[in-house]
Amino acid sequence: MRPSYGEGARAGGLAVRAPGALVGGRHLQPQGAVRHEGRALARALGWFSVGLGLAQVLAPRRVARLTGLPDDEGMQRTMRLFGLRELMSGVGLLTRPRPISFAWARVGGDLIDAALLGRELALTDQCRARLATGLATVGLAGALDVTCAVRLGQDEAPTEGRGMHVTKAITINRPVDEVRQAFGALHDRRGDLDLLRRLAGRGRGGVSFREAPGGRGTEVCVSLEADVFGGKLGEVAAKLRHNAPDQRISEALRALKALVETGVEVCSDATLERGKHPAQPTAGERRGRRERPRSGEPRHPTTWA
Amino acid sequence: MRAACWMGKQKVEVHEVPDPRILNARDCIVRVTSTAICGSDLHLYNGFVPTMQKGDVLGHEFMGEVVEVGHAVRNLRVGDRVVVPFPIACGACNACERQMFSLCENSNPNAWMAEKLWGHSPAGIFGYSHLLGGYAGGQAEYVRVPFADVGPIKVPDGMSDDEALFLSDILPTGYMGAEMCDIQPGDVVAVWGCGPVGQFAIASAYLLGAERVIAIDRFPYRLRVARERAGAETLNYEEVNVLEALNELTGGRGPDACIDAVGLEAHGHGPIYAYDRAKQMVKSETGRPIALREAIMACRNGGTVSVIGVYGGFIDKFPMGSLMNRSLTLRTGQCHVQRYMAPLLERIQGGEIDPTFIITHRTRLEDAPQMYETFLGKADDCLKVVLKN
Repeated sequence: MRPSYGEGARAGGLAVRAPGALVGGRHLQPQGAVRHEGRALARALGWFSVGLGLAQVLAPRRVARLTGLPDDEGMQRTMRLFGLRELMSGVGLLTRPRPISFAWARVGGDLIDAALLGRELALTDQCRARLATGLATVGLAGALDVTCAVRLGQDEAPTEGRGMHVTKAITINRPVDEVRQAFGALHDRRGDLDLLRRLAGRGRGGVSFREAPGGRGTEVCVSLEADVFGGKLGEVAAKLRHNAPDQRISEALRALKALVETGVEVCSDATLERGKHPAQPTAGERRGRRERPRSGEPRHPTTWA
Repeated sequence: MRAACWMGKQKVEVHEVPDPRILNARDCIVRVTSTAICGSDLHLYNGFVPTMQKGDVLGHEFMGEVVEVGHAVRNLRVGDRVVVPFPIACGACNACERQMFSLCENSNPNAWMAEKLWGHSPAGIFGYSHLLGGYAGGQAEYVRVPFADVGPIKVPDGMSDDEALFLSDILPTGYMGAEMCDIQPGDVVAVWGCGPVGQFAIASAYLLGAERVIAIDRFPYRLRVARERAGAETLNYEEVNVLEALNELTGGRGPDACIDAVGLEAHGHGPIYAYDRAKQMVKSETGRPIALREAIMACRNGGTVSVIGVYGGFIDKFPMGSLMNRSLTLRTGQCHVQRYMAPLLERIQGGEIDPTFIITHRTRLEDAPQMYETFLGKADDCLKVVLKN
């Protein structure tokens, strides 16, 4: 799982400290995302792709001649198409933060290029040296592309599991002890925090409580790896229903905050009901949600649970 | 009960809906005696605020009599007359502790929607889209008021509904608009928009010590009220070049502070106006920031631009260069009404301000659909509509 940003990793007001007391700042990034070896190679290959693509699109005949291919109309069309392909993978490699699929797309392109050159080499007696050089270049590029794709795959790869990584934080305007206690005692409506507690027990999730700066209470940070039914597709579907693990954890944290700070479960006329409902009072009993808190005073959340 | 419901773009109907009930220990139920249509309700009416649903009860300016209280509400009793602030605030989160009630961190149960559009969520608001909570509004016979121990303020005996009602929104909003200008003796303040909020911004600027207030609008009857009741000097932007006029009136400096009390549906003329209308129509910008642009360009070097007109999402051609290079200060926000209610109530009681001067129409809740149309069309010299139950 991907843990959250390190505790105490906040830049401390350097300018106001005495020079002798300087504490070094630090770069903030999720732990587990430390290697970027594939990225430099991806950039280089990206620029190569863009250059080659532009040449193929703008001067297809010259590129064909250079590689020993015939420069007839059909080949020029093919060159232009190949050029567009190169441009697409080049732009992808240059602009995406982790362009694994584009790197593999380049590998696929290399195979097609190699097949084209290989076929030409087998069929013709002309320009064999050029064709052979072209083929060797494609082979070299292919090797680099495979290296790039593999390295990108290793970079930032989740260190364990394949679930959805959730990192959510909220600040609750109460002391750490009180928040920790309320968290332990809270049984939220959908059981998301209960689930979190179970995951934490299995080492697949964690929650940290730390004092917020400036007397602003407690920063609660949740980090977990959740399995979503249906993989990536399931994730998208769950998000559309506002039911994905990250969304549910957000809502659970908000509910925790509201209970600790205000003593009540906050609801509006529209959110009282499951599904779509206009902002007008509802008839009858509340459906699908806990009845109003039974007893207790505001600001003493544990009595509401 | 009867309630004015949003039924689609430029369609408001009064319907029978269920009565509200106490849902939380800190709720109260208010029987609405007076409620008003706000200029910002017109943004809902015109369909410029996303996440509205057919059947949403409108209205965020209302007052009335407490008819039921949750058991954790200690400061109110059944029978109290109260004005209810439009932002819903818990009183316990960091924002509320810092008196920034319209940024309450707990009152918007649909915070996730607001976070998508704005990054973080502000407070929930009565009758103002699902993005801001999905709370039923106050253009109704009854309203559930959450956190009733924090928001509503009791109206003293002898004070009429008309005098107290605007404490719910527009008077504090206008006042905060002027307060954000940090007015110094001798300051000239310009106010774009002579709707109710603009009128109160003008009056508040004088209360806070402005030397001169210049008001800008295009409707002669609104400019007349600004002159005769709020004491402003007025400019009609359809008659003069506002930037030139303001420069001339201020010795070439520009106003020390500029207040945008117009917001996302500003009018204007010329190609830029046509450009904004077209972009807004195809939804490639959500607001027409014509007044805001002009306020920034007009402001003196180092001055303050205070934005109380409502904006929803994204605007185009924002003169950031002017703002940055001329050391302007931009201040804005939905009004932290709870912060201003008691002091402004005292000012009303002390006769320093009589907020009733803006009311042009008093009628029944049943007339809400017709009144939305009148208010939108600026027909019948309509400046402020108060609906009575």
